[in-house]
Amino acid sequence: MIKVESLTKTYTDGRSKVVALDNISLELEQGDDLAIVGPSGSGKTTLLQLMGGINRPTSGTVTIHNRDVWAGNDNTISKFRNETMGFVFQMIYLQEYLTAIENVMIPMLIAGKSQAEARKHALELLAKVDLQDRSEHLPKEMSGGEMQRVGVARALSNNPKIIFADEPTGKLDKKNSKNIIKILTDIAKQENMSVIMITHDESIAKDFNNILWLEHGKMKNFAKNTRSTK
Amino acid sequence: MKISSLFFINIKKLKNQMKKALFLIIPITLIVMLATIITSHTANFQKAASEAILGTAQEQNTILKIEKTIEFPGGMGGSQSSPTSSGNSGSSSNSQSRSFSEYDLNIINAIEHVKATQMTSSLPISNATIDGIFDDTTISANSIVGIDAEMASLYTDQDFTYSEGEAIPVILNASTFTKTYEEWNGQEEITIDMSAMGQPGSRGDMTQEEMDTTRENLENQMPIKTQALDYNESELIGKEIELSINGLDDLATYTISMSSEGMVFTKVSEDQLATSEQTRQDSISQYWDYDKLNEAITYKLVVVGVIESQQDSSTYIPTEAANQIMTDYIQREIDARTTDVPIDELNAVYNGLSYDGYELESDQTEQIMRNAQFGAQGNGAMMMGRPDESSQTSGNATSIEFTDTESYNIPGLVIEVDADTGDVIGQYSDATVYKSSAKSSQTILVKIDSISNRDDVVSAINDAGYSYQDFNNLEMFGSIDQTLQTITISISIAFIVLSMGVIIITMSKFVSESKKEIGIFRAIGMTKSGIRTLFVSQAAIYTMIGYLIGAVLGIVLAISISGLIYNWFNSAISNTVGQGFEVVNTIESSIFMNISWSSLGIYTLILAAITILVSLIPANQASKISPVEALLSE
Repeated sequence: MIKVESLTKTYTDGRSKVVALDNISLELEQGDDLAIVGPSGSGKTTLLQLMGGINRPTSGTVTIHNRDVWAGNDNTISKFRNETMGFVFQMIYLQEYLTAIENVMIPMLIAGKSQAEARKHALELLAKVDLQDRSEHLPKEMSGGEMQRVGVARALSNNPKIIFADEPTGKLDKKNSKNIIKILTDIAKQENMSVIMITHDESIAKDFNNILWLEHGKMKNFAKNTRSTK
Repeated sequence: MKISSLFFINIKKLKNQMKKALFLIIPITLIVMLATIITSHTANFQKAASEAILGTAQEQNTILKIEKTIEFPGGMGGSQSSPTSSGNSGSSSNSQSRSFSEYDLNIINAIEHVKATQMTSSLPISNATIDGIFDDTTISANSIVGIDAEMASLYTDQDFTYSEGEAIPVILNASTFTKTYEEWNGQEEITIDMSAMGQPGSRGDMTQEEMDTTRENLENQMPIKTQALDYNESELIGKEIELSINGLDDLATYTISMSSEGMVFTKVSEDQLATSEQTRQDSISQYWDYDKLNEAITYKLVVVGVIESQQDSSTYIPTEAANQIMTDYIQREIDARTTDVPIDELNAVYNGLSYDGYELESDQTEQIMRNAQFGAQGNGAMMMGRPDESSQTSGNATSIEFTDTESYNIPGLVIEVDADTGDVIGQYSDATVYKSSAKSSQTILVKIDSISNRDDVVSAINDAGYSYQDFNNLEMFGSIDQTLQTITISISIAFIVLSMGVIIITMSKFVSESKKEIGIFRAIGMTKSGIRTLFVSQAAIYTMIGYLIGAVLGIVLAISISGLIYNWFNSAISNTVGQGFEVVNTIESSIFMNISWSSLGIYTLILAAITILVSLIPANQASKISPVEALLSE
C-alpha cells in the first residue's frame, strides 16, 4: 500500500550541505501502522513531511496504492493528499476563528463538499471523539486534550487511508495522551486506516506493529511488531 | 473547493478579527465617501455653472448685443443743440454714425447663421416712473426699451409675451434703482470748483484712481444726491408693479451755470417755481386741456427679470407693449388738444417729437440716451456728463440754462417736418406713428441660430465693420468647466491610486500575519489557487463592506451639505461671473441635492476591478507560502 523508495532530503545552504534524510525505504500494507522513533533532529518530522506530501524529496519516491504522491502539479498533489491523508500535529493547529465543528469541516470543504453535508459528517466525527456537545465552541474555549480530539476528528474528515501524526500527544498530559492514542488507534482499526506516528514515547511505540528507528537521517532499524491486540 | 466555502471561511475570519479588518474597511469607507461627495458636487457645480453663466438652456449665448459707442463731441455745451433752436437735433441717419439704422440692420441680417435682429431704442418719453418696487420710493423709468420675446431670453427665462389687458412683463434694471434728492444745507447757491478736473494739464498727471476720487469729492459737494437702493431679486420676480407715463415734465428746481469760479448750482425759489408753473399752464391752456395733458397713463407690470449691468441702464418690455404705450402716449396729446397750434409756434414754443415721414425723433432722445448712458437722474433738469469724457473743456463761461420759460415740451406731441428742409409742416395726428416709423438705435440685438456658429458670426460682424468684442462667456464657462473637469479627473486618479495603495498594503499585512493559518490549510490539502482565492475574496468582502458604508455616508453627507455648497456657489459666481455679465440666472438650490449616480456606478466598477486585480499580488504571495516554513515558524 505505501511504498517508500530511497527517500532522501538534503538542504543546501551555500556550500554546506545538510542531509536531513538519507535513503529511506520501507513498505506497509493498508491497515498497517508505523511508529517512527528517534532522537530529536534525527529526521522524523522530515520523513513524515516527505511521505505526507508536505515537503518535496530531493530524491526517491513515495507511492500510495500505486500512486506517486509527488506526481503532477500542486493542484494534483493537494487533491490527492486531501482525499487520502489525514494529519494530526503536535501543535494541533486548529484555526482559531473556527468552531470545533467548522474545523472538522475544513478538509471536506476543501474536497468540494457542501456545507450542509460537511457539517453533518463533522458532527458524527465529533461524536466519535466524544465532543458532540462542544461542536460550537472555539478552540480558545477548550482544553488541550479537547483541542487535539478535534484535531483527530479533523484528520478523519475525508475518510483517509493514512493518518500521519507528528507527536500528537507531545503537548498533552499523561491521561489525555493515553486517551488520544486510544481513540486514534481504535478508529483506525475500525476503518482499516494506517496510522503513521512520530513518537518518542516507547510505551506508545510498542503497541504499533511496525517501528522505524531513525538516527541522523538514516534508518537505524526497522522492525515488524505483531500487536497482541490485532 | 466551493467559492461559498471560501466566503464562509472569510466571514468567520472577519467576525473574529473585526479590529484588524478595520484597517482595510475604514480607509475604503473614507475614500468612497469622499469620492461620492466630491464627484456629486463637482457635477452639480458644473450643471449650476452652466445654467448660471450660459443662461437658460444656453439661450443667452445665441444672442449678441452690438453697441454703438457714443462719442461725446466737443464737451459740454458743444454741438448739443439747445432746445430753443428749431430744426432737428442732427441725429438723423446721415449724421456721422451716431446710431445704427435700418441699413446696418440689413447688413447684419444678411450674415450667415443670423436668425433675427432687432434694433432696440428707448421710447422717447421723458417723464415715466415706476412704483411698487420699493415701499417709499418711486423710481424713474427714463429708458424703456421694447424687445422681442425672442431676444428677451437674453435677460430672462420667463414668459415675455404681452397680451392687452394683462400685466406687461418687465425686465428691470438695477441701475435704475436709485433715489434722487436735493440737499442744499440752507444755501440758495452752491459753487463747486471744478479746476481739479478741468485743467487739461492736470488731468494728464492723474491716475484713474485719483480722477475717480476727485470726481467723487466733487459729486459729494453737489446738492443733488443719488442713492442706490437695495433690492432682493428673488422677491422682485413675479411682483406686480405700476408704470406711470406722466404728463408734463417737472419744472427744474435748480439751474446750473459755469462761472470763473466753477460750476454754480442755483436753487429756484418757490415763488419762481410757482410763477413758471403758472406761465406754463397759461401758455399750454391756449391749445390743450391742461389737466387732460397732465393725466398720467398707468400700466400694470409684472417683473420677470432684473439686470445688473454696467453697460446698460434700460428697462425692457415687449415690443408690442412698447408700441401700445407710445400709441397711448401720443393719443393722450391728440385727445387733450382743443385747438390747432399755430405752425410758427411748433418746434419753437411747443416741442415734441419730430416726424419727417420716415423717422420719429425727439430733441430729447439723444439727451435721454446720454442720461441713460451715464446714469444721470432727473427730469431734464440737468446734464451731467463725466468731465473727463469730453475732449476739451470750456474754460469760458458758457451758460447752460436748461429751463427756458419760453419753450415747453408737450408730451406726446408729434410735429410733422419736411424731410429735406426740416421746416415744420404741422401737427401729426396718427397715434400709431411710432410703430410704423423707422428706428435708429445704439444697440442691435442679434440672434444666432446655434451656439456653435457664434464664433463665425462674431468674425463676420467684425469684418462688416461693426466692432464687437465677444465677452466670451463661453470661454469663461469653458475655463470653469475645465477646472471642474480637472477636479473630477484628479479625484478619479486619487481614488484609484489611494484604493490600490490601501488594498495592497493592508492585504500584504494580512497575508504576512496569516502564515500559520495558511500553513494549516495547505497542510490539510488546500491548493495554492485555493489560498489565492481565499485572500482575493477576503479583499473583496472587506472592500465591499467599506464601499457600502462609504457610499451611504457619502450620499447622506453630500445631501446634507448641499445648502453650504449652494451658498458657496452663489458667492463664487457673483464674485466672478456676476461682474461682467448681463444677468446671472438664479440657480435652484435643489441642484446641489443631486447625487451623481453615474459617477458612483463607475467608481463601483473601478473599485471592484482594482480590488480583484490588486489583491492578487499579496494573494499570490500567500499561495507560495509553504506549509513547512509556515508551521515551522511556530
